[in-house]
Amino acid sequence: MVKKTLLALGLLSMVFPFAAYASEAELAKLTMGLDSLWVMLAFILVLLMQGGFILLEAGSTRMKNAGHVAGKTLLTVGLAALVYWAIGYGIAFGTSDLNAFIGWGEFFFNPAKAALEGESFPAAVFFLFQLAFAAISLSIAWGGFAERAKLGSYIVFTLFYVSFIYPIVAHWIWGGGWLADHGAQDFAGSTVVHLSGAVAALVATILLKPRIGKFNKDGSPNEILGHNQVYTALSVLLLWVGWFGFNAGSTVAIDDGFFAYVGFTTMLAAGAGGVAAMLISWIVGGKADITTMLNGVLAGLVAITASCAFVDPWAAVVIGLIAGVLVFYSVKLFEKLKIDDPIYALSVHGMAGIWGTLANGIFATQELAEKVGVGQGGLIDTGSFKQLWVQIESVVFAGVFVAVASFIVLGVMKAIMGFRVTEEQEIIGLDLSEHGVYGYPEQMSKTEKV
Amino acid sequence: MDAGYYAELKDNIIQADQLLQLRRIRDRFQHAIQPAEQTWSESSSVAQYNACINELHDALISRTIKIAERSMTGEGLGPPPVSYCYLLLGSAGRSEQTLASDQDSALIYADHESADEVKMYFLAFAQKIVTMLTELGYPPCEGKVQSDQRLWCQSETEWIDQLNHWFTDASWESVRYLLIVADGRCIAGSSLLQERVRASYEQGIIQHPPILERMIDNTLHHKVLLGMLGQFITDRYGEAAGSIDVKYGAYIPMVNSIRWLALRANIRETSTLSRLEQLYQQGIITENDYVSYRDAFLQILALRLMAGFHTENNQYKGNSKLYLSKIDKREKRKLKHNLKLGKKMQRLVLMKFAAYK
Repeated sequence: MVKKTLLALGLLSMVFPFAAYASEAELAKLTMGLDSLWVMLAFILVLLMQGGFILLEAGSTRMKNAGHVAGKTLLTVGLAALVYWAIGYGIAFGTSDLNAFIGWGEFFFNPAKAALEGESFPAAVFFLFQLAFAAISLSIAWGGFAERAKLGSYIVFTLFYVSFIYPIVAHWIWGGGWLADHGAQDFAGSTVVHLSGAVAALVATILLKPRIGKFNKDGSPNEILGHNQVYTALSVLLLWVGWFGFNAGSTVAIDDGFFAYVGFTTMLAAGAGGVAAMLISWIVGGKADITTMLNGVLAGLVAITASCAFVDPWAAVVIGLIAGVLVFYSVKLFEKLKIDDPIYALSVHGMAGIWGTLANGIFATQELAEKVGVGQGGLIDTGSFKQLWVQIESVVFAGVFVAVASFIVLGVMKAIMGFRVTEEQEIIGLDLSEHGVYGYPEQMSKTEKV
Repeated sequence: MDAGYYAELKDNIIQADQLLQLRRIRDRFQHAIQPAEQTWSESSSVAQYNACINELHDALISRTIKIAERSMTGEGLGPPPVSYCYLLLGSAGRSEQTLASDQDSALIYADHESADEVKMYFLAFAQKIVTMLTELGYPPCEGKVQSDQRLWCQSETEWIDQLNHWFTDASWESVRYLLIVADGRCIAGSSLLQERVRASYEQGIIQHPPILERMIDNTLHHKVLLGMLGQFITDRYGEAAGSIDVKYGAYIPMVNSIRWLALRANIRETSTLSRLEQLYQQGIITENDYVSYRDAFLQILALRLMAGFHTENNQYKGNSKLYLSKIDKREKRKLKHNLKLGKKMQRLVLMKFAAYK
């Protein structure tokens, strides 16, 4: 009898283990585990976006630079991991000497091997997730370097950008810095990641000057077509998918399932951006331009990145639509200003990043601002300009800081070691001049003889 | 240009018997006939100016053909063994040449028992004409629509067979050729040959009703460069960034639309202005439309004529890009209005086609 009772209890406990034994501590552990898994998955998705950048930059540029473009992206991601580990993370999130302008501590980050009591995930996974963001911002900056910067300049700029420039802005908004104190809303990084990267790209492209052949003597622009539009389209899909890690992952918790809503607004804005850009290019230019449409999808994604957790679905659509139109005119504007923007980083990440950040001040709802716990509702919901003003502050201060810091780093680099390859190297292509082999050996060796 | 000078040029052409003399005359008229500014604002003076230029071109070309004929005899190849007709195609066929038009031409010769020998003769003859015209500064046709090509130099029967093949084949290329032939105008030789081939062409349209539909695709292929918001669609890249392509974005859409309407109405005229007049006289377009279409077309023609020319390899070449920054507000408004009319002509083609169906 006793044996039978024990057997029955044993079997029941296998069928209903939680009912039988779950304690609050184990429930917390389970929640921690799920949240960690979610952040880990988000990190993987954001890291995979580098694949998107490889294809985006390679597809939008010429064959002779393809191997270089692809290879240098992974090289700098690797270097960024080391630099962010050694310094960057400590500047962004170090807490030992916390102040409003720069974080300090946690250098050569050595996280606990598992989550500590009361932590919702282990620090290591948070580091990985934040590192992936820093690496994305860096890859955006490469848009301004494309097709003419020396390989060495990528390495030097990575050192400074990932150790100080990016982490300082991240600290201001996400690390408890002064803009966070003002209630700046930037859920997943329209300003921190995208605008910062784009401003660095702008400084780089101005210092480098346009690629050979981009502008004629009379100032009229030439179209330097990318060598593979299919790569470019595929890159946008990869980025689009990865963006769910970027935005939805920024909830860093499973919690009540809010991450799904964040993904939902993200999807709407991306679609709206693509449609709006396609339509505006059709209406104004007479042709439905594929590149513009692809830029529109990305612009929608960049713009919704700040506001994905703060706005209603209709507002997400409006934010995406405006981003799509904005990116079309922005590309024209930069051409008019004779600024060469090979990957459209200035328009897609810069202009749409600014718009997305400001959009919070207009469209954020009080309800969602309270839910997220940052800032307050925007102009439409509350009738108050307060949030919009804070958003303008974020854009201006982050923009000016990154511009000045990048200008100093790149300017000194240009003076000391040189920033741009020689004319001959640029014409031969960076594959050969920087690495000794072509990314497309068969095709390129044929054209070389011409 | 003053009438006396024009008459003198024409006389000189008729009397010239050396190619070099003709070239000198062409060089003179290229530089002498830039009209006064006010010519462009008056429709009637644009028409008159266009007529003058085209008459001079015609005189030069027909004189060149005479010289080529003589040169064939001089070289021991003898006079043409049978009668022939030298056809001008493209803008020359439509009497709408600018100062930088290229050569588009065809040759029809009468049937003969020794077909091969005769063909060899006319191919050599056409080759001579093309070379001579190139020396006069007319660039050869890049698309090889030229009388020295076998496709464009055939006997009457071969031409009729060729047309029938194009009508039944109705592929994009065949339809393109048919539309090119529609602008053919006899400049030298026997126009009877052309009339017979033309009659066969007209029969072809009647016997192959689907051809008019196929012609529409080709006719409306070039879009008027005016966007949905009524804005100009300019070149975005390259040396011509910021300019509008007057030829393919305004002139050709109008020419194509009017040509299709004329073909459907069995009108034999080849110039766009005479086609318009005929369309009006047949009651296909109203008087108001006629006047506005004519004026719009003349302004576009004026812009083409104003575009100027440059010399390259001793040939007169030009481009049809109009920089919007170079024209004032009033002219821009007028151009927009005319482009809208160009779009209206394209819509008219679709409407008439729907009615015809």
